[in-house]
Amino acid sequence: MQDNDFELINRFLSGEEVAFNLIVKKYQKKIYWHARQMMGNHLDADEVTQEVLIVIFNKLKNFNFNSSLYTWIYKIVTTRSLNQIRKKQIKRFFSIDDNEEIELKDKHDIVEELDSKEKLEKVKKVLQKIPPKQRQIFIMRNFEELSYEEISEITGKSVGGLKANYFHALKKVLELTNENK
Amino acid sequence: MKTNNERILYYISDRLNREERILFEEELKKSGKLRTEFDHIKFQLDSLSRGKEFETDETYFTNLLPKVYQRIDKQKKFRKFGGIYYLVPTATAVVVLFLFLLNTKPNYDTGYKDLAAEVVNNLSDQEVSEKYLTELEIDPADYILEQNNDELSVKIPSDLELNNDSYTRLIDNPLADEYSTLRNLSENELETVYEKLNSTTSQKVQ
Repeated sequence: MQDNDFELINRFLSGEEVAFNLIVKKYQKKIYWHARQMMGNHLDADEVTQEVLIVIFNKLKNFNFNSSLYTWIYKIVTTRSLNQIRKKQIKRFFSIDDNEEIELKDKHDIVEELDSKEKLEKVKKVLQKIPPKQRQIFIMRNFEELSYEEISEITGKSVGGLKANYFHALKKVLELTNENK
Repeated sequence: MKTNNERILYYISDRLNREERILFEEELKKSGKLRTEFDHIKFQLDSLSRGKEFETDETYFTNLLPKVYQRIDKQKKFRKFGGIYYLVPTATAVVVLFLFLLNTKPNYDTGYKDLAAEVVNNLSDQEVSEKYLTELEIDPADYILEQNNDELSVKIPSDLELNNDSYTRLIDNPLADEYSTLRNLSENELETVYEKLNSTTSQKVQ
């Protein structure tokens, strides 16, 4: 997988734009779903996904081949998601994100099946109530099944710190799950 | 002492050291209660994790790349001409600010200062007094008298003639009863006075 990624990067760097299309096709769903779980709605996840793909296009020339493309992309996704959450918090503080916008965000979705929607809503209710950094590690451990070492490489945090963070995330998630029953 | 719940979470989050882990796993095999609690927590977490990826409207992912390229093109154009977008309003703002700073004092201020300087430096006190202060210092009644001297010296029939002093008083005090003389005139005499006044005024206009 890594060799294939490096080959795609080299092709892109030598001017083949098709290689970028292949990278996008390969990672777009992973990027979207990480952003979706972090943001809790489609519109914000879409914004993050597009931003991430633009950053990949612009910064791929600086890729140093020290880490895998997957880790590198993940670094961008996690950073952008946290930034977007901060932006939203600031907007909410100044009451810019009004009720109409929240309704609009709930209306637009690419998940159409009712059962899936219900499950997604249940996850959202829990995840949106835990702090963003704990949410991030919970998503990476539980949904993306990444190891602590991989998460450490992506986030730059120590494994010990990540374990403690995950422990607190689990505790809160279980409390909230029991509350919502 | 840790509760079972906490020990389970410590185990799942891999926060137990090697010995604690072995002990916990042994207890998990032996204790039915701990096993049940462990399974329950695992089930709760797994049920959340089942929402990894859902069936989605695939057109979103098909249209994603064109949308991204569109935004990349926009950014490229902005980078190319972005300078102009910023330069024009910035230059306008600088010019407006510059003009504003230059024009904080109105023009008449400098004109007034020049005139004052000229008066102080080039004119004697007497000239200033004659040219600029006379009209202001003169008594208003005298000033009007001076300005209208011709009209006041209209020839009026000798028995009706009023001296200038009377006019001055008349101007100073419009309610003074100087017109009482006129009341004693006949219609013909008044007509004569009117004609004379009228002809004098016409001559002046011509």
